[in-house]
Amino acid sequence: MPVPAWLLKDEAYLPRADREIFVDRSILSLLAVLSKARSHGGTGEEGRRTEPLVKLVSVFVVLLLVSLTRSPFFLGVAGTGLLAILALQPAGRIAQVLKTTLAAGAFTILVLLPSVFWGRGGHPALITVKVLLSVASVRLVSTTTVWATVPGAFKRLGVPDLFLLVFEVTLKYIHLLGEFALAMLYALKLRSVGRNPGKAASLSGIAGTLFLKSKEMAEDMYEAMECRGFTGEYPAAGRPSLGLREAALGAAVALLAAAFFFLGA
Amino acid sequence: MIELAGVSCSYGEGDVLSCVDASIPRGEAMAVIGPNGCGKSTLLKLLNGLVLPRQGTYRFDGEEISAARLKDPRFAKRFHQRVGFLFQNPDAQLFCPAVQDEIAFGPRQMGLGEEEVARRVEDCLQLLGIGKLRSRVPYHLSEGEKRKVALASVLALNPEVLVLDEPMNGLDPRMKRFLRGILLSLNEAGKTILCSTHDFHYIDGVFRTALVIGEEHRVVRIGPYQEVIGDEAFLRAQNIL
Repeated sequence: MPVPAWLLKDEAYLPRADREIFVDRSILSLLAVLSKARSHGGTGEEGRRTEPLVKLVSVFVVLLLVSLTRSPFFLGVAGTGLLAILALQPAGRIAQVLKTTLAAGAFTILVLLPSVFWGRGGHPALITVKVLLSVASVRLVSTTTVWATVPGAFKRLGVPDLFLLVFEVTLKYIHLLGEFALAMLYALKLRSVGRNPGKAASLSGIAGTLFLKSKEMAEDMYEAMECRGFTGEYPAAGRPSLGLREAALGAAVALLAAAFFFLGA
Repeated sequence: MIELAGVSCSYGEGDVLSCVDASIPRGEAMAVIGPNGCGKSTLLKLLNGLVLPRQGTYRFDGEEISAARLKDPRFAKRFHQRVGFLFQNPDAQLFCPAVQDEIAFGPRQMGLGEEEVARRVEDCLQLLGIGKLRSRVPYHLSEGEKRKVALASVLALNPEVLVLDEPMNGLDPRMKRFLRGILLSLNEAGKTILCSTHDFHYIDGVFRTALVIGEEHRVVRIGPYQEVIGDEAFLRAQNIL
């Protein structure tokens, strides 16, 4: 068939204004998630330095002690230690940790504010400090750990294989499906050349395609894993690499545990 | 029509395109070639305004394409109408419930009357030989059919520039020959065609110019397509052959 006449002429088209805020914001949010996924994908050398197993155990102990204590002195000691570790981090990471921590702290204060007016003066402050310490320590571990190394650490801790499989597949698919969703939103943006009265329909179309794609990818991956001899058992990770950093972190946590008993639970 | 001056792009760490200078006149048919990961897709995204230069300038028809300029929705919509983009993965481009809705999506937004929309849909269906697919769900089509539908949905906007990212990927030989014929017709009709590809055999005769990006993410050569493709030693050195 010959090229139709309208394709041979330049389009005399003046677009009408339309709001694209939702698509633009969705693109920005997805870019932020993908950027985070990439930054946890193994590019940061400092993330590899401390053994993830030691970090996971340490943060678990810290969370346990902080949640059990009722001593402001102990919380002061824990907070000082955490601040010291945080101070050794690069500025960008400090900002990341503080941003989440302060947001969680502010939210806690907001939730606990009514109890202050009901005469429970000391407890809200204690709970807020506990939240700040807990969130900061978890955020510190999450920002310094390469995500791909976490399943290995979980395996050594005896976490069930099924959980590890789901965890690892989730990490992988955040990236893959995120990239695909981003491409679809870009396509929608590029093809939104005028006023689109059916934005909701377009977005639900994207969601539907994304669902079908995820199902297809999951099936493909399961078949590929079966072909490679996967029997449902997660391979045991190699020996953890323990060095000076791990010893220092272990000693700090041991001191914290001692402080817990000496300063009172 | 398209002017790139010292353009560098990055996604955070290191440049994925470095100091690209290129001038692409209206009606050009240019192949963008290079090894995997050299930045071909990024260059094509840049031409569509999806990625913006970290350094340097990109001018389209004399207007600089920048974040500030693309914030003007009327300008951005007109720019996206003038530059059509065929994604590497056609699945990413198809989100309507039926093929004919997919093709009508753009023309309807342009405010064309239903009669004109129907004419464009029909013309695109016939041009790409997919008339029998009009009521099918795009997601369940074959790879080649999806690519044809995606191309039809772009052509329905009547863009002046057609940017194609590896359009031959996943197509069988007959489909590749068909696509080659379509690209030739469109270029003869005055459309500017920019296309990244590795499939040199099937695109023979389509392109006049080749832009080669090296592994260092820089343009290493721009020249007549036949001359570049005939330089086997150069292509081997660039990890293209």
